[in-house]
Amino acid sequence: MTSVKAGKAAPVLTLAMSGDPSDRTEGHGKRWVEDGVPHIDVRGLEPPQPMVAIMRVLEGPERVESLVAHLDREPIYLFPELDERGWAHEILAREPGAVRLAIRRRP
Amino acid sequence: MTLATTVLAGAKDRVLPPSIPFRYFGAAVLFHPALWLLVLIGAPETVGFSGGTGLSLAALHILTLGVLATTAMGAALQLLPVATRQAMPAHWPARLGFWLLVPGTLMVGHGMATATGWAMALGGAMAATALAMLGVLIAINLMRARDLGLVAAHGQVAILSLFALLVLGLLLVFNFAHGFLPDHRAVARTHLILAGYGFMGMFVAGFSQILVPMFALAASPDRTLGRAGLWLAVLALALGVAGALSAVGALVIAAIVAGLAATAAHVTAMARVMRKRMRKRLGLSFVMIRVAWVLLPLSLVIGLLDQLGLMGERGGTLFVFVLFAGWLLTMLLGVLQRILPFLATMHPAGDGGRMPTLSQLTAEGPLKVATICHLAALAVSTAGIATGQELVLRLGAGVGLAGAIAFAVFAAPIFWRLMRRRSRASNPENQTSG
Repeated sequence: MTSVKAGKAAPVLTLAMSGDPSDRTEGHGKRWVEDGVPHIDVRGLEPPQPMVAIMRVLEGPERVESLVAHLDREPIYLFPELDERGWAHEILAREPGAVRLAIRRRP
Repeated sequence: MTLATTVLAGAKDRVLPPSIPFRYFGAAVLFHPALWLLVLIGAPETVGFSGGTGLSLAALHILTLGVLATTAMGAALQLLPVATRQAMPAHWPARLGFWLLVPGTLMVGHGMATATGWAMALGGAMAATALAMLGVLIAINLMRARDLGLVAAHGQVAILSLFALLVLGLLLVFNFAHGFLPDHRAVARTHLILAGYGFMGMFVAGFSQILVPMFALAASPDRTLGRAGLWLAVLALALGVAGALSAVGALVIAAIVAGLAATAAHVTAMARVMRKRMRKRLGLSFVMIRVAWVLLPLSLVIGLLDQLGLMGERGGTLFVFVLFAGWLLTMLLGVLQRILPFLATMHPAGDGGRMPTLSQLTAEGPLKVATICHLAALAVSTAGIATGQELVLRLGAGVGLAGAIAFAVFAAPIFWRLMRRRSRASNPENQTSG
């Protein structure tokens, strides 16, 4: 597992992780940075861990402003949480078994 | 089309039309005050209850069929297709099930309250048909689940218990008129164990594996503890059924001990989830859920003391009250007050498509009254039953009734919003309900 450094406003690049599938940690998902935007892959996790893993990044100490989440289903129970906590969300791509969701902090 | 409706349109093969789960939740909200009203009216009978038809039996079945089973079915129909990623094979059994279950429950309640055999038989057959249909629907969905081992296993035990308790329930109903069972009480005890700890208990334990971490934003419960809890519960159920049917006290005691061990595993797993949660302010729903976690082992301890002859003549009534009105009702009210706004946010009101937030849909005032009244009603009613004081039980039931009305006041705007959505959604593209 590549750990995510906790800290004050950590630059997202410090969260960069390898693409090694062994990075997948049950309950946390795999994380990396692409074009300066943090990504998290929570495919294969049991409900409700995708939601928890995503909220852990959004509400964690890194203070991210945006996140792209890779899921294997539309996280319909995540949306009320995001709305409640001031996060906007948009589905970027949807295929059978794969959904890409963009999340950004509302101004 | 708004983002919200885009999302739901994409998921609509899995999310049932909101009218289906919410009709079950609506029935539960309405049967809830009816339960306390029956306890209020039937208090003199309840404090001296020794079996047979009457208001106490009617109240118990309004609670189990009208509040607990409807809530469980609504939650299963809404949550399972999403959790298992498997659409329900058909929607019509869920709709038909409601129209059999609710009138059937009313008829069972009427039949039991007035000792009317045909009403009990017809109502019982309707309710049993509904629950069997819904059970099959849920069982098919669980069998197709690929990645929900522990939840699916709990669900399968719950559904098996449901089928067994339905058969026994029908036997009991027809036995009131024809008297063919050699030991009515033994079958009634088995029916009760399967209903409380088998069907509802396993259902609650299974769904807690998903709902508690989802509500608290925490890691999933420990799988080893979860598996231990499951197998101990299965052992407890098997021993309990054998003990109740054979009237062998040692088997019942062994069942309760296994049940306490299963409870310890379950509650420990849940406590660990809570310790690692991200959401610090959990709200009133978790006050109820935490109290329920205490009432579950308390019900077993009362059952054990009663079995050992240490609870006096009202031990059996107290056990039934703490099991159904205590543990299960408290747990499901806690879940319902969290899940109703949560599910409603998934369905825009049709007035522009903007999703309301959870806090906009949670009326804190009525919820606070409902929670305080429910917990006070449990304490006072328990004291009334334990001491045989009819007036104390009436007071508890009155407070419970006030709490149930407050809960309905909390739920009403949510249902109103969904009904308004149905009537306003004129553009087919914005509709997600079928």
